[in-house]
Amino acid sequence: MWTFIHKMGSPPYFYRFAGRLIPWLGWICAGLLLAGLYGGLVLAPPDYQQGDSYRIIFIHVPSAWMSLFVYVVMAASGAIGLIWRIKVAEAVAAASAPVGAWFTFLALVTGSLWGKPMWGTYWVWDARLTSELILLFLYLGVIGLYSAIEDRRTASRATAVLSLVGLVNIPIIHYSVQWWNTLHQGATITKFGAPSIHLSMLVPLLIMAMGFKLYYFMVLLMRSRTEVLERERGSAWVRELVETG
Amino acid sequence: MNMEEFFYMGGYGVYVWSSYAIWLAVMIINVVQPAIKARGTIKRLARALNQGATPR
Repeated sequence: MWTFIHKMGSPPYFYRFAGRLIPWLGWICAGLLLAGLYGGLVLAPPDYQQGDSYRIIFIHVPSAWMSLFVYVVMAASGAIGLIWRIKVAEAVAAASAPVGAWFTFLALVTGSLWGKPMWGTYWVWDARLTSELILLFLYLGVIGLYSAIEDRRTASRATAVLSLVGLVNIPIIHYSVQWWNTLHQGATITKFGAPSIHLSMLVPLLIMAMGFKLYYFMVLLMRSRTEVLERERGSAWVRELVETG
Repeated sequence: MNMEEFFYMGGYGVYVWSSYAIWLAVMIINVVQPAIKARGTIKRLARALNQGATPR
């Protein structure tokens, strides 16, 4: 395991390994998403309170989960890059920011489209929605800061500090529905005791969540490969790779 | 269940399907864009190398 982690820290090894992994991730992810969509849109029954509108859950909740997960990955790999100066970790942090921002955008937009028929409004300044919006701004801040600094290694260090500071927002988002009286409903799955959702809805939701996770890993590897290539452009292995096409 | 009912979604079709449409568009953008970028980067590095300059 440790030798594997050490190997992955080497840019050329990472580049090749990721290149081989991407198609596999893509196919498994496509399979999971199709299965999840079928289960969620066709097999699952309508909700007894919300009718068919609840079906937005199958993309809303995985997007929201991923928006938090990606942020933690970004901050953690940023910290690893900050402490041990591992180039691949810096590339992973840089590659995570745009994907995380897109997931946050999806969580906000799909939530808004779910809120309109159920709450009667697209938007309300409650704790959950506001903290998720702040998350989007944090991502945009990280992306902006990264692109504002010419030298990629300096940029990585600066963005790592910013993303570590922003980490404080993650528990706030998660616990916002408990700490404050929100219009947003409370946790259904990630609470102690049995989840308050029927299996016919829970199974497609978890399949979708798995599909989202694999999708993120796939896009992450695609982006980090390019990032690694840019950072290593002066080195012999990149020269060789570029020459052979 | 017939197709009409499926698209009607108990009256919530507009909200459900626009959510899924936006989701699908974002998922496609996030795969296509990095793929194009990867290709462009390799081309750019190759061109710089052919000109004998240290690639920037």
